[in-house]
Amino acid sequence: MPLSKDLVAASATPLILSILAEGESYGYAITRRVRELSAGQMEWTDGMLYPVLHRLERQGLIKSVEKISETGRRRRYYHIQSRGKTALDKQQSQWMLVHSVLNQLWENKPCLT
Amino acid sequence: MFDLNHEIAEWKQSLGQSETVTRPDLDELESHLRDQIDHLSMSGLSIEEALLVARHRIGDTKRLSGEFAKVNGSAIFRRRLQWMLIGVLAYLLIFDLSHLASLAGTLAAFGIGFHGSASGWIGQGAQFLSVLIGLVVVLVVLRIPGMSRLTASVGGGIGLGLIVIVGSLLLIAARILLPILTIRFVSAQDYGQSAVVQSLSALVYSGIIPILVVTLLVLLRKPSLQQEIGVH
Repeated sequence: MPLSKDLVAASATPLILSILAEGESYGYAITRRVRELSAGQMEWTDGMLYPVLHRLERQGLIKSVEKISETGRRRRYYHIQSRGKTALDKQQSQWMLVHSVLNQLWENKPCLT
Repeated sequence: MFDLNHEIAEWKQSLGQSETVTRPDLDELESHLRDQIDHLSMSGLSIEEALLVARHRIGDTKRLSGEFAKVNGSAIFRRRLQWMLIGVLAYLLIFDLSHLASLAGTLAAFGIGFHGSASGWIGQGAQFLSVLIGLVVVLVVLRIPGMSRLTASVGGGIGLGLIVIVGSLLLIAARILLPILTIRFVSAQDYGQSAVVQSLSALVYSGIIPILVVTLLVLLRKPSLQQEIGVH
């Protein structure tokens, strides 16, 4: 199911921050993790991830280091920073709020089909 | 014969043509593409198929460069500014050198026995020739592969600064020395006649060159989007 452009843009930041909160990671692994968790349902255009990562780094929410990977390739690894953790907390409560409101509305009015 | 490295290099090059995607961006995207290809070929796809799928997943050039433009805005502006300043420097250099050529040419003409306006014409010729040579040198230097990247990266470098300062001092010295020599060795009437001819240069440098530059700007304009995608 392709997500709407707006929803992809809005969810990118909390998704990335949440994945990096689990530990350091790199671009390809992040897209794989999203694909895995959504059972292939969330279709991202992979390249779009990088401008978002770079923006988050500029905002000081994450930090990157270039390392040589196990395949011998150069790879940029991203870490979450304490500011990123604070931002993630904020995002989390906002998304939970939206989620709970929608949930209540949809539970009271079951799907007609 | 299918050559993965060649295919990836071509893909990178086409993506790199957009000025919004920087070299580190390209390297990061390449690493992503290669990871994806490894993964897909492990699950049974041929390398060729894997490349196709990976390229599709990473996104098309136009959308990617659009997204990168949002985060690389200031870098793009800086690069453009560097080029503009390099242009200003090149112009000043050619202008100064041509002025010197004119002074030196006139003086030399007087020295070998020409008089009045004849010396003026010789000075003019020397000036025109030096402008032509200067333009050719600038164009050739910029066409050397890798030079454009180099020039952009040294913009603001200490080496370039030193060269410019030393060059400027030499030019200033020469521009002071040449008129002094002219006054010493050339009679006022001769000098006056040659100066009248010299003033004709205004026609070339304030008239013809701006028109040429504007014509070039118009010719270099990118075709509009409609022409590019063939909409009638």
